[in-house]
Amino acid sequence: MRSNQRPRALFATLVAALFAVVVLLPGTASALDVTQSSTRPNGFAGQDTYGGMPTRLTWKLKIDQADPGVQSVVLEFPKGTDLSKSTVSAVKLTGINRTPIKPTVALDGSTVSVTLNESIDSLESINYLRIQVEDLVLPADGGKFQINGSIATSSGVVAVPPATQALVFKKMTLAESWIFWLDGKQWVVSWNSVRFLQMFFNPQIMVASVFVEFKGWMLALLLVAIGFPVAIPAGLMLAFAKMAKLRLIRWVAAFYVNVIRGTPLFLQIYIVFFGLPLIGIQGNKYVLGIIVLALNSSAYLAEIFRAGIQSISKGQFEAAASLGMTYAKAMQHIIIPQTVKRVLPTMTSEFILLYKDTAMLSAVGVFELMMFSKNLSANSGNVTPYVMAAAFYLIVTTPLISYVRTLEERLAVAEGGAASKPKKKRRSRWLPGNAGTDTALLGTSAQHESR
Amino acid sequence: MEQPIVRIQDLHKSFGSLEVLKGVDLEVTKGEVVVILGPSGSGKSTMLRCINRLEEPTSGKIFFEDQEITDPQININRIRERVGMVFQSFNLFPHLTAKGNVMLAQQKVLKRSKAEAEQTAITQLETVGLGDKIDYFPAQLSGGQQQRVAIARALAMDPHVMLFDEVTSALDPELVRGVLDVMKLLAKGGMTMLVVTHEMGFARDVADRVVFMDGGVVEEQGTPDEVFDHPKSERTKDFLGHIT
Repeated sequence: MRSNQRPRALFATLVAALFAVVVLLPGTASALDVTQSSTRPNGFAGQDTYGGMPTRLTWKLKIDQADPGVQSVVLEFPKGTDLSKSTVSAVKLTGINRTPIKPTVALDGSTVSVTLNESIDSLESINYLRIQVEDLVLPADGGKFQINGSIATSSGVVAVPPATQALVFKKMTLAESWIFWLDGKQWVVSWNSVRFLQMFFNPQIMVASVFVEFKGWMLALLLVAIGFPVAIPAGLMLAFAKMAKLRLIRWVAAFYVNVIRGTPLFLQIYIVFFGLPLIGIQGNKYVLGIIVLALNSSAYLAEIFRAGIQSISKGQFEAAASLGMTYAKAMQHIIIPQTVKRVLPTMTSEFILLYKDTAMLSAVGVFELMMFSKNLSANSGNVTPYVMAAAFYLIVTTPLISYVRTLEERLAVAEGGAASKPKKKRRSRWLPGNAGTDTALLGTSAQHESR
Repeated sequence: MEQPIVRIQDLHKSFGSLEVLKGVDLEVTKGEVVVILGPSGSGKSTMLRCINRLEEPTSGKIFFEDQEITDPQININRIRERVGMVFQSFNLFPHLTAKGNVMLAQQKVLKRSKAEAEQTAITQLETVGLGDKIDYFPAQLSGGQQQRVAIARALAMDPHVMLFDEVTSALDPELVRGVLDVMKLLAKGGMTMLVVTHEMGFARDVADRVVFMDGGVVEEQGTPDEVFDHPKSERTKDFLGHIT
């Protein structure tokens, strides 16, 4: 017996609910209805509204034909809402006609009272009442709310009906709070009054760019940080293949290197991104991006390595051979270590090139630095995101460029001026390979040798 | 007569259409110091480089300790372990210290332990008078010092014969002496040496036998006295006349 009671109760509830929906629904259609309740996005990007900085509320009430005339509206915002700088406007919307109304407005804490001089009804045609609250500052902590309050009508006071969607506002991020802070500064306003500065060096957009582009910068670094190390052994193998005894191997390696070096990276990106999926190689775009960067760089590195190996004097091979070393041992212990030292500057330059080339992956939807700045620039209609992207690229390339210079100078000193000329200030040090000038380090043995 | 350690028979070597060696015959016995003289282009260096097959002979035979090294089947690296060579341009490994240069092949070719290789390196560097320079890089050493490191590097392999290819030609005159002193020391110690040089004084003092090469053949050979003081060949006389 007991077990039967529950399903029966459930059934009864269902029937009642169904009845309620069917019978009561037409009734709600004739009641006052909030058709819009929204805030304007106030972040630097995206569609979000943030607390703690000004926004605008738009609230629209539909007055149906059966509804009594609306005389005044009281809107209650969540506690902590700042209305001290707000202005309120009201408009009567009839079809496409808008009739501004001059209501009596009272702001009290977080409550807005709008009293219409003349009540609005929809006896002749359907009317809407739209109220906009400008410079409304929602609580900084963020949250979600329905506007409460009351509406005074010709037939009594009713509660403000809830909107279909609650209002959501977020807690300000670091970026927003900085931008908001900048917004309020007089020097920023003056700065931005110069068109060039405003378009290229807009402080607020600079801050926004730093936050938005950082992710893209990290991705660009990641792509090259994986792609380049992959390209190094590939390039080394190609270099050896180009010096192989077998003509076929030489020919294949040379063909590959020539094709890669002879075509734009841009084209290679298109071929890999559109071609590989067609033959069944499905990688995500980051993997594909790394593949294409590595393929490209390996060809350039191959030439760098080959030139490096061939720049080692024949005497080194002969000395190794005369000691009974095999070709492989000579390569491993004598030629490669010297080559590494010699090609390090050129390799670093190649790294710089590859890092900059990651920008081209934006053409196929890889969200790296260039892609983010392109989007932000399009959103803001401003060039500053590109300027900041340049800064992001330079953060990496500038130290590397000076590193290349240092390496080249060190190499020049170590090889007795074989590479670029050492700076004057280094002249005082020993110049190897020139017995006449290395007296500083010769010591007793030099005296012995000079008799 | 003692068994020759190096035996060269009718050695020919051509570079393209240019025939540099036109049938060289030479025998070197153990412990002998042979100095090879001759004008530039006479094939001295080429002959020396054929002995460890840095140059491939075009024809002819070379025997080293009764092994025919011109045999294509032979593992030439096994031979090269026992044939030390010193070059005109030193050819030290610039990325390694003096000690590192001397140690490398000991470890990688002779498979000596690091400690053993290091001990040998230090001993050999002391022998050539560079005990205080073991941790210097080649670029920090003078030409003469570099060449002595190169000699130590070859000696550390315990070679049965040493080949010297114009080892003092690239040196400033004041640095030549140190290198020659080391070579004299070696000769006194009984090392078998083939020396291509222009140092007449060294040849006279140290050589057991002087070989004069010209035009790709051995023109004349004998003791220093015979060759320097009583040359038989006109070309030898001519050459020595120009030099001294």
